[in-house]
Amino acid sequence: MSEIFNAELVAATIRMTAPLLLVALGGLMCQRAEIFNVGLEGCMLSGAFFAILFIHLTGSSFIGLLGGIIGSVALSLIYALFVIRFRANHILTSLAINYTATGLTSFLLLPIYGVRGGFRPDNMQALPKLHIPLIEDIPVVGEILSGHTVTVYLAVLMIFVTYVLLFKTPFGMLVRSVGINENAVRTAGVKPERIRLLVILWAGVLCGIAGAHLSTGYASEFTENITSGRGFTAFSAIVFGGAHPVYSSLACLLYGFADAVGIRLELSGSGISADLLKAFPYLLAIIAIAVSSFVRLKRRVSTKELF
Amino acid sequence: MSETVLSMQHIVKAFPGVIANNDVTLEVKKQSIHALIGENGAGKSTLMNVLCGLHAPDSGRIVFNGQEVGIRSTYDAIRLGIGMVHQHFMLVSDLTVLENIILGADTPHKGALTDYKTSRKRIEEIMEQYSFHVDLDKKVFEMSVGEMQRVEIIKALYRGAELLILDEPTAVLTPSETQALFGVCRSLTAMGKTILFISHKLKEVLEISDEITVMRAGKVTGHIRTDEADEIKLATMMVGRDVVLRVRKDEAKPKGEVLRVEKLSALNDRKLPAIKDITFSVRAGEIVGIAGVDGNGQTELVETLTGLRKQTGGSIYLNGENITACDCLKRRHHGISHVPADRMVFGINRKCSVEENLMLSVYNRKPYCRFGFLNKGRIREYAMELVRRFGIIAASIETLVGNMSGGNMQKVVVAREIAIEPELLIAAQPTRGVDVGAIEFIHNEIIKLRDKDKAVLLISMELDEVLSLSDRILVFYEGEIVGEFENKNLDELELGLYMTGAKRMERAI
Repeated sequence: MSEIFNAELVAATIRMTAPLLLVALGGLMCQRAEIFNVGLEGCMLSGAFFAILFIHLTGSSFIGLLGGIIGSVALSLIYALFVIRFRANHILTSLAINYTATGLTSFLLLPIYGVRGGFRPDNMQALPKLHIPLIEDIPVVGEILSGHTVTVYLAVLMIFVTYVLLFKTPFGMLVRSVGINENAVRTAGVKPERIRLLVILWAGVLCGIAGAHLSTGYASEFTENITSGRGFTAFSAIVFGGAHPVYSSLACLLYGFADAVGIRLELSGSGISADLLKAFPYLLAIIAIAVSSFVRLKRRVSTKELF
Repeated sequence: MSETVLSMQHIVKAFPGVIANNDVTLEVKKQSIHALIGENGAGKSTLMNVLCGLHAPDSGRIVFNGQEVGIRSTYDAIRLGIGMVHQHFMLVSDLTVLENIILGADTPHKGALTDYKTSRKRIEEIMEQYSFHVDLDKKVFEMSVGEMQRVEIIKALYRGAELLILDEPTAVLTPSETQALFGVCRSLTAMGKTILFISHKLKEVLEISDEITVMRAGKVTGHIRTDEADEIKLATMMVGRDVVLRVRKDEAKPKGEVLRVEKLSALNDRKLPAIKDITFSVRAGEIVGIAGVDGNGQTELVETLTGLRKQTGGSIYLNGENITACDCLKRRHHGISHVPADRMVFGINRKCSVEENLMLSVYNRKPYCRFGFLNKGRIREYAMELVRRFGIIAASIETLVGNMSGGNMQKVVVAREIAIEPELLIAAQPTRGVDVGAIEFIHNEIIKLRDKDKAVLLISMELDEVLSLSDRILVFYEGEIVGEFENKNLDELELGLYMTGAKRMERAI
């Protein structure tokens, strides 16, 4: 057991959670503004691809990160155009975004790098790892908290940033309002479309960072479908946590933990099905969502005369 | 006093299929209460939406405070000092009152963060100045409709509104809340504000306004000083023909008992007793009206009778059959039909067409449905007939109900429920937010139903409506029937004493 449950597991959990966290924190802003953005997966994939491309072109991991953001935001812009301007169905547009990202990134591997399946640039420079002075010297704690990629620390910081943005700023108030009564926002002199555009782009930025984290901070290469459903996992964490920055982050942590344990179990060959274990948090999510919907329904009943 | 603050000149605004405003000119004097009245769909709301930046006019000029202005967005209107209190409140239910008031483009902030402290101080100053108060930390969904309206008014004042548009402000208010609102209106004008008051309740308009502009079918049909106006004059201008304000009906000839309610009790949403041991009956060929101040259990009674709410005790009989255990649909099959008080929530489906909404009471009956399939042709004929018979104004029967005016929506509901000639019609606020012409029509339809020996239970917050329609009146107070009257030579004041709980009758059951 100790070969699975040790400090390294905690560190791995943090690593696994980080990309989920970034995507979920971006996505929950959309959710709050009543944008059903399941295109997070595609944006992240695009981010992962373009991060590698920009590193390949410049040799700089930070420009790679920037490239990831650009790749993801570009796709978000298309999503926003269809959803806001043409009032297209959110789910269908999301699916289109995801398929486009999968298809395009797989296809572009060949003309650009002349390879199939995956690409690792020769001048690969991974995102720098941050070693926190003092803390890194503490046994166990140092191993857990120090030495992660910058994006990991950024992800944790984003929990706080998102919380403040959503609950403490005028912009956050508008985001929350758009989802509940967009006409209230419109008559208050603000165009709801503008708020929606901004949250979609913001989600794009965070998905881009998450994608870059996957390909340059985590794996140091781009492989086809490198995101492998993490966007959907993050989306389920959003719903699980009621689109609240703290609760949704906790949900991400749960998924990240299950992932980390799963991988370890697989490697150790202990006979416990890793797939089953990975499915466990989702099962929990379904139960939690059912319960929270039920509670909300009850509450809605008592206020139904008003709205 | 006589200085003109707002002048809208030759406003034209067309929507696909209708010209909502056809060369409308409106002049409003500073510090006055100017009423804008007209039937549903006359174009009042469109004109106001043009003024507050929600619609761009096709042509015309707006002069505000002596300057020609272009209002291209709600933000422009707010900056000019035009504030609107919409009929359906523009509040965010999960936000606090404070947040709702400061929501918008100019939310005060310190750095990136919302500055709640400064905002609170500013709002408190405003509340002090106009001497009305709301709890700023309450969430909107916990408030009564009257409170929400006050929030809307404070919101407008906070944004520096000089001209306040109130769109049918009394439609959702109780009589005492209405009086309170009138008090607020008067103090606002005394402090230099101007009020545009949209309504179709003639009595109120006569009571509160200084001047009245009347609209009909997208045009201005009259402009009159209130001291020269009376109900008949206004109604005639609004409808374009003489209107009978009092309902004409013959004496009721009640037959056998249709609805019998025995010792019925139910809880409200807060799980407190809302109706307590109620016993009464409604006979065929009579209209029983329930009078009472809003919130005394009327809503719960209607919901319990129609099967929307579970009773906690007692039984309900329809034509002698015990239907207490039946659900909504079964009760409908037994012949209960229901015009709900809240048409938006229970009455219609806004995202469906007129036709689809009208067929909802017959969709599972022959000949409209055969072998489980809808008979499109028959349904279409049926819908067309109802649209004609009830004078529903819609571009076609495929028009989405959500795009129609409130009065027309109500007509759709009434048409659907009355056309099937139910054994018992439960009509809750059947004419809420409906204009004079349509009220007359709906009232006549209800009476016609009675004269076909059907039973009608009427629930209304408008005492006038209860008095003019009912054959028998039950007064509700705190979930109990505190008085029962034959509707003959009733003293309104006396009735008022019962409604407010000052008097009660011991009934022989």
